[in-house]
Amino acid sequence: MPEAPTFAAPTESSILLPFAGTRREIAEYEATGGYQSLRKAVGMTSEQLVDEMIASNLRGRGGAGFPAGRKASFLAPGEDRYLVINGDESEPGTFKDREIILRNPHMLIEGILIYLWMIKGAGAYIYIRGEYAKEAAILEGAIAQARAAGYIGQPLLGTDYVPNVYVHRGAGAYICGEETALLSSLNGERGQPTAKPPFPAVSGAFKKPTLLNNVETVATVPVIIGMGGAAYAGIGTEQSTGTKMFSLSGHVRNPGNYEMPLSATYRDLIDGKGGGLPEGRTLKAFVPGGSSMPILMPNQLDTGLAFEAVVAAGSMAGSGAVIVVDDRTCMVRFALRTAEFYKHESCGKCTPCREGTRWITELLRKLESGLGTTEEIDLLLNICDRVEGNCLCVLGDACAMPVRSHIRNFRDEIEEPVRLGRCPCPDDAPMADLYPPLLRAPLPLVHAG
Amino acid sequence: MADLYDKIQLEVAKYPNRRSAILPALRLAQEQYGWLSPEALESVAEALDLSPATCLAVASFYDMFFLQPVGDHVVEVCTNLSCALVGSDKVLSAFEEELGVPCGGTSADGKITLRSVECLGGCGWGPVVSVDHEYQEHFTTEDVAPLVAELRVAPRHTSESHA
Amino acid sequence: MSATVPGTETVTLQIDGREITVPKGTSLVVAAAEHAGVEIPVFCYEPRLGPPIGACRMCLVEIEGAPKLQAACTMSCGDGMVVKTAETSEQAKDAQDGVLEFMLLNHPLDCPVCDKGGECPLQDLTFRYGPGNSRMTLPKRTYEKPLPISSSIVLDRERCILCYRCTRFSGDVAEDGELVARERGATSVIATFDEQPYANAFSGNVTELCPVGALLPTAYRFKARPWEIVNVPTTCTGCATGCNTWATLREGKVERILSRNHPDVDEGWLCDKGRFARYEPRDERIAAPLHRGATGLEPAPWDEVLSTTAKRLRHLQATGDAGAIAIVTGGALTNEEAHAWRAIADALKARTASAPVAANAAWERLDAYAAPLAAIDRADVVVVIGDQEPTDRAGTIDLRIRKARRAGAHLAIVGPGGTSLEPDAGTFARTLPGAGASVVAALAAAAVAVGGERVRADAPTAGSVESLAAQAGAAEELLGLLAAARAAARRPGLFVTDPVATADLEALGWALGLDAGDGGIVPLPAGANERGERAVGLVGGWDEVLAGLEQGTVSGVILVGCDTVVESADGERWQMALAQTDVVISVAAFTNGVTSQSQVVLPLDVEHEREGTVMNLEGRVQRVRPSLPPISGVSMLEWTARFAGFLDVATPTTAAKAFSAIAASAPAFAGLSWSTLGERADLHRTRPAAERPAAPAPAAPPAAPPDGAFRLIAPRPLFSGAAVERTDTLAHQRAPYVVLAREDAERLGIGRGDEVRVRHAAGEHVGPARISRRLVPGAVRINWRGSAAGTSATVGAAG
Ligand SMILES: Cc1cc2nc3c(=O)[nH]c(=O)nc-3n(C[C@H](O)[C@H](O)[C@H](O)COP(=O)(O)O)c2cc1C
Ligand code: SF4
Ligand code: FES
Repeated sequence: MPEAPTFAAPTESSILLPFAGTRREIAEYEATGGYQSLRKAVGMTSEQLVDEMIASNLRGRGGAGFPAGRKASFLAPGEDRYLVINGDESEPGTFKDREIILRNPHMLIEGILIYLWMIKGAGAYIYIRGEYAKEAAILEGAIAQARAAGYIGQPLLGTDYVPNVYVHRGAGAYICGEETALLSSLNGERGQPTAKPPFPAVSGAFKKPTLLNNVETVATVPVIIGMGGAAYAGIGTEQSTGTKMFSLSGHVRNPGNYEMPLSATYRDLIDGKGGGLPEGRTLKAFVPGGSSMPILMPNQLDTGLAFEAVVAAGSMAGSGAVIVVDDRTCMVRFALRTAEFYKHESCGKCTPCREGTRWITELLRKLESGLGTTEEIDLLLNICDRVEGNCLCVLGDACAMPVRSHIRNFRDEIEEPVRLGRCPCPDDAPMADLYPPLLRAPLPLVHAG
Repeated sequence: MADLYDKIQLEVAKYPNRRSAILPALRLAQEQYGWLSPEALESVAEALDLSPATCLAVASFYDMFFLQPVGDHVVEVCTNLSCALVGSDKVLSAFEEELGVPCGGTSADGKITLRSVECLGGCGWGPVVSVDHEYQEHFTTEDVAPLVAELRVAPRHTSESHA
Repeated sequence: MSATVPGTETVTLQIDGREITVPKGTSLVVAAAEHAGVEIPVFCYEPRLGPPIGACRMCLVEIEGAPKLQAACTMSCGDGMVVKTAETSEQAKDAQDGVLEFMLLNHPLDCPVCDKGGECPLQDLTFRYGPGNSRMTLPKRTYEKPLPISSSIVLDRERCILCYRCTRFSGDVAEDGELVARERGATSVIATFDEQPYANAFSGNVTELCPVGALLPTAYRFKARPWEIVNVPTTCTGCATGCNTWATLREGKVERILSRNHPDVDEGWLCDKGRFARYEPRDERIAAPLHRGATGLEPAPWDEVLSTTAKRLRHLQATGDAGAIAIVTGGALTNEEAHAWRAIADALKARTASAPVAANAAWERLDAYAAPLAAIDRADVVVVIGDQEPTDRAGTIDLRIRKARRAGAHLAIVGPGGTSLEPDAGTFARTLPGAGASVVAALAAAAVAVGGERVRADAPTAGSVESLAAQAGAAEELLGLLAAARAAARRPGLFVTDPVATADLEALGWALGLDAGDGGIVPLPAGANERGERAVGLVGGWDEVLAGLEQGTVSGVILVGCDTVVESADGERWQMALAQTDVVISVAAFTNGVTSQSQVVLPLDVEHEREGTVMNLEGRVQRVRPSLPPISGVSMLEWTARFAGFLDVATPTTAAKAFSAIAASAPAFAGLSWSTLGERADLHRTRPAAERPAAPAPAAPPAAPPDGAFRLIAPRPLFSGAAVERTDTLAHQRAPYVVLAREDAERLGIGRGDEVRVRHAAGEHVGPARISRRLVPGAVRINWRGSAAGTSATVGAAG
């Protein structure tokens, strides 16, 4: 039988998960200083807490990298305000939030309680992707323990504020990671993004002012409150402070999650922690931050992990999912598989994304089958241009940006099938045969008169 | 069904408005009925005071809800990039062979439904196969036959609790 | 957050180089069109559907300082904004071409055979901006088409551009949630649940909202091309709301009814009765004067029939005492026609009756407390009292009530339950059926008890809140009632759908102090022009005439445009009474319950055949314009004039003349003139000062049904009447159903959808069961074609 995931060992710079194995029991967590930051926070005012977060200069770990403290300061005043934690984690290659929940759920709960206290929230909802059934159960367990220990559902540590925390499970839709789509889903609608304004900070969960952050972002809060924002800001680079979880996968010796200081480089991660590529293979390209980001080439290995460094290299740090691609991999199929995903996940609300992702996918499929033309490759680039920046949310961009980068960086290889009339790569190549995304129920006929 | 109605009311209690309970409600209905038949959707609609069409609109948006019957067990193979790079398509074809149905189909004995799914968030330990929502990692073609054999005799389990 | 509500402040911005100043908050799309003369193309943008959603992306514009193009529909004008539309921005132009191309990827481009052709925004834009042919070399999505989503609407999924207008109407305006988008991404389609018809009473509006040819009315398909048609502006006479409409005329036939948005009346919405119901086939209509001969009703020349009829009536009048003759109407006449009948009544010393129950129709007594429809938008609270859904009395009002609730008004429902407004109501106080009168009295008493800003502490009441609530069968709902009363004392829109004496409503209005401030009572007459008929002098109720017939004090009756056998709750009594009456004359569109008992039957002109005016429930006087000739070739104004002539009185033969006569004589029309009524009529409304009403009569509690029987709730549904019953495309709207309380259903072993038979005094009703958790146990609710309220019924599984 396949063995359970082998959690990565702590790195010398680990402050989020500075231990091996798991700490799911509240007793273990408290024995190692757990819930002390919460006690400290309860002695602080909302303003002090927000200032502490601003001082830490923590940037959101969900993908957009928006400064967490600033976001907290934007939250509109109001009677009922909510905290929503984004645990949808569906960007291909990303599995870091899952590791935090599996190994140290109480750290997330403590972060949630500090944030709830900060905004005197009417409640917190952890939106966790539906596939994470086990992880949801672990969170429910942690919440039950925290409740039994007096942290939840009763006046918090001698104050008159009563925090409440709920787990809300998704049901299989990548788009529900996008904040407004997540809130639509939480509000019981189809999980489609909504136009801003109104922003979640004004009208979000249940149409009330809502603070929304990623699991890792919130899990980092106890660390920051514990060590102090300034101290935290001392780690990493000036614009990208602290440590961050990176999910390493693909053609690498030691895949897994690694907590890296943001001052490190992709070489430190891939060659250092990951042990480089397997015997006899060489690096062809690597995805720096989830499949929606433009790929980087081997000569860019020394790019820093910091948000600004990746941008300078022409891509984005995104969710911190690093996918290593070796020399045998067919970039036509890689591009097709990438496009297929975004086509399958497009919510269907706005025209360019709904139709553009489909068109891009169909053209790549045609290309892969050897029936494509060079004109169609240029057409692909033009479609990418007309999708990017014109959609309601950035899912459309998430399809256009990588595909464009695949074509730009591997134009010759992409044109191979046109010349050969078939896809050139051998049957033992990775992704030898591709499968369509899961087949959905056939359309029922509507009432027939 | 009455008990489904009451279970759903417990979920409703977690939210400021009843409509937010639609995902948990649909999940409960699917656990009870096996799939979201029109009858199942109508029960959810009644419990939440929504139209059945609204429940259908929401259910059909998400990949984890079944709008047609499925087997007692659902095997889902991740075919997204990270798993594909380490050979998940071979695992998928091995399942197709073993079960004698193409991806998306249900074995003749009605026991097992095979699906390919997008990234499951186990990328470091791929190929990842989710069996009735329990992940099995580093899954190889050798693991296919034993798993199928095991599932053919295992009863359908209705709860997802993995605590 | 709607970007379309203009404030008072103004902002100055630049669009395509033109500097404009507009109210702060104006939508960029609107500002461009109305102030800068630049048309920004839109598909999904439709302010009446709620906040913009920015889905179609057709309206992308460049805004200086913004990192990427913005959807203009989701932007409101800001000070100093510099906007470049596709007219002046290359980037925006390219994006727009792109969006259009994306839309056309799957579109069949079948304009020549599409009924939308010629009036299709997509077609227009494709001509104006579109790249000639699509670069899409791959197969288009294909779907089974056309799909009927009900007997009145067909869906073509290939033409659909997924703008979500239709689903937003269903979800966010009508709030039925029956028409939805299913699936996701490129496979998304518009659908209903499990092949069931889209049965909302307002479903037809989606055919006007759809910007392409994807949703079309069945009745109109392949009928007309836009350039062959004439649109006549008129007013719907389906109910007393008086929605403004266009009648689309082609080759002497009314092919289609479209909304003619009057913001204060209908806001551009129509109900399916007003949109689809037709008095057809015309060859089944009563098209000539008939009199009963050896072989039954036979055609006869006008003058012969009119003169002999006049003679017989004169004779009756001479022999009997005053009021021996009764002229009975039911809101089906224009004010001008009613005016002629008033003159005839005078000539014959006849009594008149224009409403089912006289005591419930003294609408003018409520003028001091009445609220115009537009006031509902500003209501703090909307209270709906009685068994019936407001929709059944007055179609589109339902949409305004929901809109008010969405805008934050507290919705209080006081009734037996099982209606569509309850699920989202802030207060639902459950009563027995037929308890409207007790509830009104209880609310007045409750208001006095709890007090409030304008409440009159010394207002007369019919008893204690407790006793009145108990009478309404709502003893345990006391708190709900008090809450409703407290709320109603704010800025209410108050609907009373049960038969209730206007005197009692007056007492409630007085107690709540509704004569001061905004808001008040919204009267819901049963007949479309009941208020107008009454206002020109056709006062009185059917109940009085029926009593007269039964006591023999009335020996001749003229029933003009009303079928008292079907439409009144006392149908059988009318049947028997008419059988023994010497002279029965009826004016009808089709043979019906009263024509069969008449010696003389005269043709009734209906909507689209008449020139004149009607008065809606607010008292608003609006024009109706003919698109068709009178059914008999002679208009009612003309033949009533001739008839009057035989009685030696003169009545006007044209609507214009008749109207000036009315304006000169009837107070409710004072100051109005034919020429100034216009196409979008204002409400000439002066609130008379309120006078302290007499103490309301103690309301009679609803009678208990015999053992084992159910309390029947069968008010006349919206989808009933001669036209509805003859309109095939409304079949699904008429489809019978039976609502049972969960407890009763379980007791009787009846499940959702099981066929149930309901026997009641007026007949038998069989339909699938709907199970309600709110309907008061022991009651059954049906959509019976006629009016059978208040009676009891037996219920059992059918077959
Ligand atoms: C298509 C799309 C998918 C996203 N998926 C996720 C996700 O799975 N998890 C997440 O935390 N953020 C995701 N985001 C980013 C969220 O919109 C949001 O920026 C983030 O959750 C905010 O949290 P943070 O400020 O702590 O990073 C996604 C964004 C887009 C456009
Ligand atoms: S059917 Fe018409 S209104 Fe509905 S989504 Fe399609 S195009 Fe829009
Ligand atoms: S009109 Fe603006 S996006 Fe549709």
